[in-house]
Amino acid sequence: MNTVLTVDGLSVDFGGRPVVHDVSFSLAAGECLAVVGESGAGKSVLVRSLLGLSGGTVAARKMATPREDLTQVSERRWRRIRGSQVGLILQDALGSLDPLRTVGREIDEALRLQTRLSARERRERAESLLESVGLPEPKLRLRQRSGQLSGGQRQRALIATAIAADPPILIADEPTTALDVSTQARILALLQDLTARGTGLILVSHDLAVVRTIADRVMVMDGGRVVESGFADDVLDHPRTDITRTLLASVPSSKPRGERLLSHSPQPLPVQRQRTAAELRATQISVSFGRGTRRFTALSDVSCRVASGRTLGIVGESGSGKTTLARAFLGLAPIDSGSVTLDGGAWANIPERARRARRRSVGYVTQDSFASFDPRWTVGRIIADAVGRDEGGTAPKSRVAELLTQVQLDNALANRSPATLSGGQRQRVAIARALAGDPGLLVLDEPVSALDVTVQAQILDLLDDLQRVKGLGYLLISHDMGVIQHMSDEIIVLRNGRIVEQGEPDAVLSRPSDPYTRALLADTPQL
Amino acid sequence: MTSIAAPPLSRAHRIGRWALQRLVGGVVVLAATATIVFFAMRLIPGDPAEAILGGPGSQTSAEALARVRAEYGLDDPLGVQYLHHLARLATGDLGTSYSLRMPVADVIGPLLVSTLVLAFSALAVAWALAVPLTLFSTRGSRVAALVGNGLELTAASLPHFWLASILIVTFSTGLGWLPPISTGGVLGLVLPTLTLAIPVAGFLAQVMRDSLLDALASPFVLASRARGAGDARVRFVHALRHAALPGVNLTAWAFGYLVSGAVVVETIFARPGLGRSLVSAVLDRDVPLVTAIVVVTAAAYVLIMIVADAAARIADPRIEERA
Repeated sequence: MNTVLTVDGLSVDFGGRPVVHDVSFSLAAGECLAVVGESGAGKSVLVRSLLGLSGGTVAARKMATPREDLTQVSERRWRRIRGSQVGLILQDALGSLDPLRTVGREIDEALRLQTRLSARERRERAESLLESVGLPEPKLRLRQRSGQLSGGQRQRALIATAIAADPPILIADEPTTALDVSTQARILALLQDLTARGTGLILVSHDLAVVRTIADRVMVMDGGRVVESGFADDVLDHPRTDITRTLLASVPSSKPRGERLLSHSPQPLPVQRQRTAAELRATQISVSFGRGTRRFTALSDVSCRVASGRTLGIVGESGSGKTTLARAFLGLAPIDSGSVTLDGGAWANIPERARRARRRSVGYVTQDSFASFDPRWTVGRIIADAVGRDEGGTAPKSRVAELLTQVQLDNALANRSPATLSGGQRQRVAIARALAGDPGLLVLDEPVSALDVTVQAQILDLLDDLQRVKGLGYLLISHDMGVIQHMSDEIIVLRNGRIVEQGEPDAVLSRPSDPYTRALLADTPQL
Repeated sequence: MTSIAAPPLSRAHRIGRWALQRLVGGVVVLAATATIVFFAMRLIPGDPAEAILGGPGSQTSAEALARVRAEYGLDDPLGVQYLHHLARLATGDLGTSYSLRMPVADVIGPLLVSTLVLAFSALAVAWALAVPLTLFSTRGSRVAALVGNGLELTAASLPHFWLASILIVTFSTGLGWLPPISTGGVLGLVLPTLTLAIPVAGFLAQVMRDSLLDALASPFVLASRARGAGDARVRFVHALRHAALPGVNLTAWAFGYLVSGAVVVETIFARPGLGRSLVSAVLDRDVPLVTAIVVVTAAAYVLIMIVADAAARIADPRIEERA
């Protein structure tokens, strides 16, 4: 095998603060090396230093391609190396393509900078690039901007810009994180295609199931150091360090329903309040938006129920109607037909005045909890705001403390701004706020999608514990089959606003009756 | 919610619909302006017929007043007068100035040109100052950011009369390079233009710096660098266009600011223009002249709004998709 990159003793520091420490590895042509670890482990800084884009001070005993010593490179020379010898694919394709420029111009930029092709040749090359990354109608795509493409199309276009000048080394930094499983499966197949054609791929990911799918070798990082590395199967099947073991345990599909993912998560306090049973029931509801020719049916003929102590998991790709269902259960989307009832009483299509008194029995947690906080408020005020004033004699302050304890956050955080919290802490604050009204039911819309695997596992464990002690009922929406499988008592698969499959997780997962569910399961990477 | 919308309208269709909406909206604004001016002028105490005959001081006979009232239709009910007023404006007839005794169109034509030349040159100079200032203050060095920020804030908060005095003292009285009075010619335009442009440049640079920094920190800039783009390319090809978007939107506002600023600046530099004439026309109770100046200014404003909106749509094609 010919080596395309050798790195020995690479360190990166920012103003004396080391972020990457003494990392060594090599990459062969056609090989996929996965770099895994939690956020802050130094993965992104490490791979960006291979392009001279880390932003810190880089030192290495050796960092070289067969043609070039990368430790002795001027900024001017780096500009020739980027794109032509090392390509970079970033996570967020929506943000990584200039929203004001067409896809054609973004690809053209790479060709113009790194090749000597004429304008005409560049146009032809751009077209064939889009074809090679599996984008149909390349002529049309070249004239579109990233905002006009779907998530998968966008990621393909971004890959086309990165491989335009045919670099022998390609770095993919969380390339599928924001995508739904079917799109993810197709993008992974495309990346595998590139390695089969001889490209050396460095894949940064926190999703070990993805890593298992395409990586030949794995390098586990923690605190800027490589703690474990080896062939993918060896590392994933026989982890030698706790870091790797925790990462593996955090994958939700690794444990059945009701079993904690992480053994060392702290146990919650037993909770005194036991709420009476609650039930939200949707009967044959349909919801549509717009009118006339622009009318769009978001949900049609959907029936399901969420009850105390149970979790209803909703899975489906973007645009399948998951969030609309959540909004109908929250009494926020007027329904066209059917009925939604809370504890037997009408809940949808009644005046908000009639709903307000009962609003407190249904809590809500969003994916992007940070955006749902007033950034100028402290954590304590955010939660106190939801506690309200008529709390039966309990002073809000002690209630806030009680809620923070329930979500296993330190009371001192009450005086902090949400901007200073980590993603996991923010999600805990969002859960505490949702619990403020002492609800019997929680609507959880992608509650862990923005989190690292290990943090995700902690939040899932917390939700599990809360459900056990408080008898909460959950409506859990996720695009991640693993999360749904680990958490749910009943599963609904939504597609284009219709239920294509409904039943117990085991039945749905082991004997899917609908072709769409089968495809969804086939696309889900397995650990 | 991603929705599967009906087939999108063709580009020409969308542009046509946009232009029609803007035109109708503009006409409504002008009609409203004409209405407000008409009734506001009635609220000023005194007899318009007296103003026509040379003001309250002049000794006019009752017959002369009656003749003037009949001639100008001032005896008609208010509603009829109002409709006449609108109908005349709609046909482009601006009437005859009471005080100057000549067609209003002839009076304000040259004044309008003079004020627009001043406003547009100020706008151009403001952009020409703001873009380099933005690029300078975002070079990445702390000193440049501090200096740039200080310059922007100072420029944006300078009052016109003070800035004009300083410019006159420096460049006319002190150095003797430029005339302190702006009666014509390019040299006379320099100081009034700078007086109006410098504060606007400060505002523009402030909004553009923020969005330029946002753009420079965005993943698409990193992606572009990863393709081998250098600093200049990243700034000029990618980031500057994003930075210009709020600037383009601010420009429509700035035009209104410039026209109102022109009142002060034209007075200081003794420059003929709409602003100065409006002041004297109001004092003379010259209803047709005031009406014409206000309506023409509103028309210019409506036009600028349409142009700015079109420019924003060209600079940011996403606006059209959202519509």
